[in-house]
Formats: sequence, C-alpha cells, structure tokens
Amino acid sequence: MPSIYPEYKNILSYLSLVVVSAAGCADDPYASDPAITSNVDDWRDEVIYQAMVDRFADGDVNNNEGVTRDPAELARWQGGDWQGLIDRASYLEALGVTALWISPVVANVEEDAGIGGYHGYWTRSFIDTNPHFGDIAKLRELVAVMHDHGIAVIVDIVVNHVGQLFYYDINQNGQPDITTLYATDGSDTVDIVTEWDPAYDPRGVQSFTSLGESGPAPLGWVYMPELNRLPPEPAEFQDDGWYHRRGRVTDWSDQAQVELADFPGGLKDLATERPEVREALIRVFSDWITWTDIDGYRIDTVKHVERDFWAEFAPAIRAHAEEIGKENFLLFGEVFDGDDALIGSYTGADGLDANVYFSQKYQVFDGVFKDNAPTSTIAALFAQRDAHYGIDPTGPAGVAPRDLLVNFLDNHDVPRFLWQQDDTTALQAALLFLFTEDGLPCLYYGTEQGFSGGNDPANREPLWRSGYATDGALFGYISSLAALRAEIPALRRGSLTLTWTTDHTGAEEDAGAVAFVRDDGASSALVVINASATQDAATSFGGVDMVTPFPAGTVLEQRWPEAGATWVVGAGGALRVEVGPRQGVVLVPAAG
Amino acid sequence: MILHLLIVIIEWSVSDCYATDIWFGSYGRVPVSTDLSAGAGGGHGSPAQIVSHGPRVDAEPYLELDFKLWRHGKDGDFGMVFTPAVAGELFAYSGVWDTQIAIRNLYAEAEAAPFTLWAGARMYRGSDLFLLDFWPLNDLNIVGGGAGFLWDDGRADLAVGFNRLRAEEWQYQIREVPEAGGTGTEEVLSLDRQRVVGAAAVSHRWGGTVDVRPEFYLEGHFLPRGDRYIGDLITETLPSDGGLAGGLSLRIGGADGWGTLWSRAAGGLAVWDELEVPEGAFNTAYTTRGAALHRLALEGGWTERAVGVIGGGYVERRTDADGVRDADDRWEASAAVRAQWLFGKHGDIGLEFSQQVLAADGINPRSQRHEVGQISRVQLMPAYQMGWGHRYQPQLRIQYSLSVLNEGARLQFPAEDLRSATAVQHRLGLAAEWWFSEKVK
Repeated sequence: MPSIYPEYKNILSYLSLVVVSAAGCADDPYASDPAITSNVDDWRDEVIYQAMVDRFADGDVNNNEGVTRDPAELARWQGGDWQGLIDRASYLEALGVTALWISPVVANVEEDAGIGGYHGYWTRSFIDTNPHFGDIAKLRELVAVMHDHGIAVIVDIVVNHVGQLFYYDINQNGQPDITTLYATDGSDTVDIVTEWDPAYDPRGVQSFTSLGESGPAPLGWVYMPELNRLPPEPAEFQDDGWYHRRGRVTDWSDQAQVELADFPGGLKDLATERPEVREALIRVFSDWITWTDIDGYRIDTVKHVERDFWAEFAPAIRAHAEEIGKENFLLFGEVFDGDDALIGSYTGADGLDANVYFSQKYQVFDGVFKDNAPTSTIAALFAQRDAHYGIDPTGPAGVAPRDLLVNFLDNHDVPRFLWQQDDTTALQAALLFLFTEDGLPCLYYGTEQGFSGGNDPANREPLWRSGYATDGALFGYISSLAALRAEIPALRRGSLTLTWTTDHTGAEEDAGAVAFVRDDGASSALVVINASATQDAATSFGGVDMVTPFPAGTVLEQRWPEAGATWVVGAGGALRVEVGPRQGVVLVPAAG
Repeated sequence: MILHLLIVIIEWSVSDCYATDIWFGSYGRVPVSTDLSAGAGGGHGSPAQIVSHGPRVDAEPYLELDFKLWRHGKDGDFGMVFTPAVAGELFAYSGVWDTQIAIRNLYAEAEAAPFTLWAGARMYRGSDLFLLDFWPLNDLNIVGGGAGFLWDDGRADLAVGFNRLRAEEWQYQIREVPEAGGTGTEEVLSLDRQRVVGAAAVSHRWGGTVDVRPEFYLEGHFLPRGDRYIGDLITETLPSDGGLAGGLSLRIGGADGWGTLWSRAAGGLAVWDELEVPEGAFNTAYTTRGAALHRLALEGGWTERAVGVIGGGYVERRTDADGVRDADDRWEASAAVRAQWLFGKHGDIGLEFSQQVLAADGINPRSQRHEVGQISRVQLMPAYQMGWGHRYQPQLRIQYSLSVLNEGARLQFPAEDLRSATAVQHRLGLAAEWWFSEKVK
C-alpha cells in the first residue's frame, strides 16, 4: 500500500505509549478578541488587492453546502473561503500586495431568484459571519496570518441596505406574490406589481384592494431558514420602522430615490437618518474591529445613504478604532459615479478618508489607456482634486483625502480592463500609471492572471482557473511595479506634478505622452508613459521639450523597466524622453 | 454467498451429524421517562447527551433477537447465526406504525480445531465498556468473512469485509437520466464504490489468581476512487481514500474485581465508524487524509457481597482532515460510576454518577466563543431483577435522574431546542433491560 497515511506513524508510537497524545490541545489563540495592532503607518505605502472571497481559493470544502462549483454558473456560489486566502497568503505577498480588501464578512441571504449571495452584499445578520467563508475564529486567523505577511486587511461593509428579507404585502394576503395585477392609479389600466420589489412610491409602498388604495403596505418578514433568509440580526433591525419602505428606485436622477428607495434586487433600504439605526450600525461595525483586528473598511453604496450619516458614522468608527488602540484605521467608500465632485463630496473630516476613484477609472483608464483619449484628460481631472476632495489632513496619519484616492482599473462591478481592451500592452501601460501615480493602487483579483471577464458576473472568475501561477508575464510585471513602488519612497508619498500631457491623439510626436514627477523632498522620480497604441511618443512638441523641476545637468537614470540608460536634464529643466507605444520608463536622479 | 454457505451447512448436517443445538437469546431495553414539566411547556422525552457515548441507562429503546443453530459434526462444528434488531420509537409511544428493523448478524461459522471460518454479515466486536454501551477498541459491522486460529487460552483472527453506504451519495448514487430510446426518464447507477475493511486481532489469557488477557488489534479501510454527478452535467471525482487503526485492550480480573483498559489510535478513514460518512471533515482533495483519533478508555468493577461498584469512561481526541479547527475537532470524555446495593434475592438499588465533557476546537456559533460543554448527572435506580448480582438481568428499574447542564452544554443545541433552555433537568422514568442466551434444544 502506498504510504499515504503518515498518521500511521503516530499510531505505532501511540501503541507503545498507550497514552493519549496531548497534541492539538484546544488552547486557541483566536478564542477571544485578538490583541489590537496597528499595521499601517501611511496608507499611501500600501498596495491594495481586492479579493472576492468566494472566487479566490477554496481552502475548506466542508463549508461548500449549496455551492455549485460550476464554472458556467458565476452568479452562484463557487466555494472560496477565508481558509483559501490563508493558504494563499504567500501568493499575495509574492505579488507585492500589502493590503487585502475582502468581501463582506457578514452572514448573507443564501440565494434569491436563483442568484447566490456569494458576493456578500445581501446582509442577513450584521453580527454573524458568512458560514461559507468561515467562523469568527477563522476570520481572526485570516487577519493574523495576513498581518504576519505584512498585509493589512480591509473589510467590505454595507450600511445602506440589507438583503431581500421582507416583501411588501400589497394585497395583504400574507404571502409574497410575484405578480399581482392592480390599477394602481385608479384607472382601468392594470399594472403588474411584484410584492418583492415594487416601484418607488414617495409615500411608501401602498396596499391595494379592488376598491383602490388602502394605506401603507404591511411588511412580510421572510422565514426561510434553508436559504438563511430570515429576519435580520441583531433583532433590533427587525423593526419595520428601521426601513424606508418606499420600494425600488426607478429614477436615478432623483436624489430622494437614490437615498431612500430599495436598491435594485429588492435590497431593503435602511432608514439611516434615524438615530437608533445609526447607533446600531456604528455599534456593529465598531465591534467587528474589536473582534477581528481589521485595518479598514471599504464601504458600499455610499451615495445611497443620507449624506449626514457619514458625518456621524465615520468619526464614531475612527474614535472607536483609536480607543481600542488601532491607529490609522481607513474608511474609504464606493461612490459609483463618474461625477468627480460627487465622489469627492463624501470625503473630509465629516466624511470618509477616501473613495474609490471612479472618475479616474472612466476618464483616464478607460478614456486614455483604452480609447486613446488625450492625456490632457488627466491634467483636467487632477486639476479638480483640490476643489472636490478634502484637502485638510483629516485622514489616517494626517493625510488629506485628496492624497488617499483609491485608484483602480476595474473591479467586481465593471468589466475587466482586458474585456474592453484586449491588448495586454494597454493593460501594462495602465498598470504603470496605477502604480506610479499618487494615491493607493488597488488591484482587482485576477488582473495578475490576465482575466478578461465582462460585466457581472463574468468578471468574477474563480482564480483557481489560473493555477495560481506566479511565473506569468502579468504577475511578474505587477510584482515588479509593486517592488519599484516599495523601493522609491517618492512613488508612495511624494507629491505629483504633471510635467507633460497633450491634447494630441493623432500622429503628433507627443500624442499619448504623459509625464509626471513624484517628489517627497528626499527622493524623486520622473515617470513617462506613452498611452498611444500606434507610435512612439516624446515629451516634446514643436521643438519645445518638457520642463522638469530638475536643475540643468541633472543626470537621470532609468530605474524601470530595467536600469541602465541615462538622460541629462537640459537648460531650464528641459528634457525630452521618448518611449515606444504603450511603454513607459521611470527615471530617478543619479546618486551623487 | 451467504445462501450458498447455508445450503452447504444444512446438507452437511443432514448427512453427517450427531448433535444439534438451538440457541435463542435476546438483548433489549425499553426506557421511558419524563422531565416532570408537563403543563409547563416541557415534557420532552429524551435526556440530554452531548458526547458520542453517554450513560447506558439513557439509551434509546432497542431489541435484538439472536437465533443460533449449531451442529456438531465428526470433523468439526458448524452453525449459523441470525440476529434481527429493532430500533426507534415504539408504536405505543409514538403512535407511528413504523419500526426500523436491521439484520445485525447473518452468518455461518465452521470450527475445526484449531481453525475457525465464517462468512456472512456480522457485528465483529471485542469487549464493551458496559456503563456506556460502548466498544472502545473494535466494533465493526461488515459483510465478508474471516478465519481464526485457536490455541489454549488464546486466539488469532482475521476478517475482511465490504460495505457500500447509501448515505450522502458518497459511495453510492442513483440518478435519473433520459430514457434511452424512449420518453421520460430511467434510473441509472452512477456511483458504486465499496469500502474494504480488514481487521486482525490476537489475544491470550493467562489464568491464575489473577486473570490477565491482552488483545492486540489492527484495522484497515480502503475506498477506491469514484465519480459523482453533482448536477448541471458536472461530475466530480471522489479520490481514493483509506485509513488505519490500531490499539489494544488489557483485561485483568480477580476474585472480587476486574478492570479493562482500551486504547485505539486511528488515522484517515478509520477515524470514523465504518457506517458513517465523515461529512464535514474532508480536506480540499475530498479525502480524510490527515484525520486522527486517539482514544483511551477504562472500566473496572469491585464486588463485596451485597455491595458493588463499577466505573468506567473514555477520553478521546479527534481531528478531521480539513486543517480547519472547527466543531469537528474535539476533545470528548464521558464517564460513569455506579454503586449498587443488593437486597434479598431480587432487590437492587443503584446510584450512578456520570459526567459528559465536550470541548470542540471551533467556536460555538451561538456564543462566538469556545465552549466546554458539561453535563453532570446523578441517577437513582431501584430495580427488581431476576437473580442476585450486580449486572444480573432481566431488570425492571425505576430511574430518577438529576442533570446539570452548564452553559456550554446548552449551547450545543440550537436556541430553539428544548434542551438548550434548562440548566437543571429532573427526569423520572421506568426501564426494562434484559440480556440472555439459552440453549432451547
């Protein structure tokens, strides 16, 4: 028989001793709240990796009940869990990741209309872990293991809504009717209404009878334990009054609907203007920090919550973190919108530390790096930062929100970069920009493996398809960029000064060129990238070269992609650097 | 195969025999009790248990009938054993006309000293820990056969058997497919993998003032790979699996007392009962490789005329294969001590203290903490029995028990479960228990 049972050796020794082994005693370092540690000095030093837990790695097959594992069914559970992340911590470390953003950890509705709650945004209980991912001890272990690997942990949270835990009993028959037919406006025209997800009504969803309206529709809380579709926990969230009860948003331009209506999919909107709701949300999300020693929150659907909620929630969470000894806890959010001013408006002392930079995603990574928009787009966008984002040092370690923007190419809600632009060199040029601009680079899982899925859920591929290869070109490219960023302080904390952008997108010599200097006072770097797919680009046009802040005669050495070449800065800081299509260089002043 | 053996035995016995013995025996127990809270929202019918093997006196109703035909031939002895068993709730209790019947033994055996042979289905067991109704070293249910070699005061046995569990579509799966060449569906067998279980035991008895009997035991399990259909035209591979177990028992007996020690260590598939699917315990390859069990058990008794004391218990450490410290990785201990006083020829009063301890590595999902569940129980059992002796049966008992469940024990049950609600439980009940085997011819 092949030697597949190493435990047999234990049996033999055991037989000779005839004593019960003391191995594996139940002394568990994760049995109670962990010691609180501070793991981030300055978030600008970090490289964030967004992992959808259900898709990253399946480390424990025993929590797969109800998991299809069918790669053709990406809208359903696939089996990833926290143990999988623990098992693959070295993979993340090899990639250069220093902060891990994980899916919501709370227990979710298992399934709704055939779609799985694998993503974690359908909260059922604010105080229980998602059993498909692990228990509280496993989450503590995950955080501790990541900390041991030098990786901070950011948890995704949702305060705007819960899962589809109740229906509107419009016809008051005590059951959720998928289609009911009513003349909702009193006319002869019959409307189709679903009691799970009726359309927005500013008065609140109304009941109807054959005689017409009959007042607010009562809520029907669902009790379906087989789907973990139960009234929410803690029990105080089972109060009907804690929800807006106005039905599903139908007009995204109506701010009232954006904030008060149920999110599509019947996700019931919490009445976050109520003090007791705020107090409860602050309490549960303070507790998760205490329970697990996590280092930050990424907050979902920020713009769908009353704006003044954040002025209460964010300071309270910060205060709790500081109170228990957690320094530099990060709060950044998702304002899923291309409006830069709107995104920035949620940051500051009375808001969040930062937000994911959707306006940059659309204008720069989609516009410039995929669709050949002029690089002057970058200058125009960046010029708005001071006006749109908090500039006071209110964030962790006294960094202003303006300088903590979470930069990203794609995420779980948008198609992957390579789906829209399948040229890997375009992705590489964008990645160079991502890792050298100011702010926090945030990498969506699978980018390092060349994943190219389209819209949700195609962009949520199981990472195990890749075999977790670390010898692929993209993996190596990204890890080298992470190493470069770690090596040069200016690329992390330095100010950013654009030194060349252009309106040109044709055959002009600078079409596609963007250059900027990062400088932290002690170190500096010049980054030159050519976003053009078709031609070389130079930091020069019409005989006028780029002006850099470097004194004339400064020798700049190429540090990336490989060391070797040098440039000498001309009079007045002038410098002409030419790079190939979708290529880039990083130059640093020569020592001495 | 079994039928063929029976035919051979019958033919042999008809043609060449000089004595036939027929034995009938039975083991059975019928307990019933109440928690004395009728009318107060309670009245539930079973005592709380959090370990694998609680006190024997709390066990569910069970009945075995043993039929044994034994013929003595010129060159050896032959026989067959048939043991149907009945378990589950009794009709008079549940009102449900639904009895569970199992065939625990159905085998034929031949003995021609110094060899024995058997084939069929049988319980293949060693000695039990009486107070907990538990076989700590070896307790197999197999369909197969075996051979033994006997010598004065000792024997060596080998057995091999098979099983193919129907549970959880782990070894066996039937599914519906479109009917070939027709309409509708038909059932097909899409997974059928047998587990092979082998066991070997050697024991010897040294008699004298003190009787000493050690037994050494080895057990192996092997399960071949199989493919299981999981839906949506997807089939997954269940890899081959296996496990080994080994251990010993040592029984020492004297004029007034006796004691037995058992120890068992197991790895892989042998960690679990051969009739149990190790659900929730697989590693990422869907095998049990890496699982381990260590168990130590003791039982002893002492008798001085009308007074007797018997005590026993076990402690075990079980870890599963998934590498995740959860509820499947646990320390478990259970022990009982019973003192008995005999009155006259038929009277007996027993007082039993028992303790159950369960400490899982995983945190309790209700409390979000590690919990050590403990149930302490004292039972007073006046009994009327057929003869004079501390374990003499049949026995008619009155049982009163007082159980104290700590919070950790109550948290083992869902919040909605009656047993999670009460820290102190009183129970009063009646029980009958018997065990006999007699040659009726």
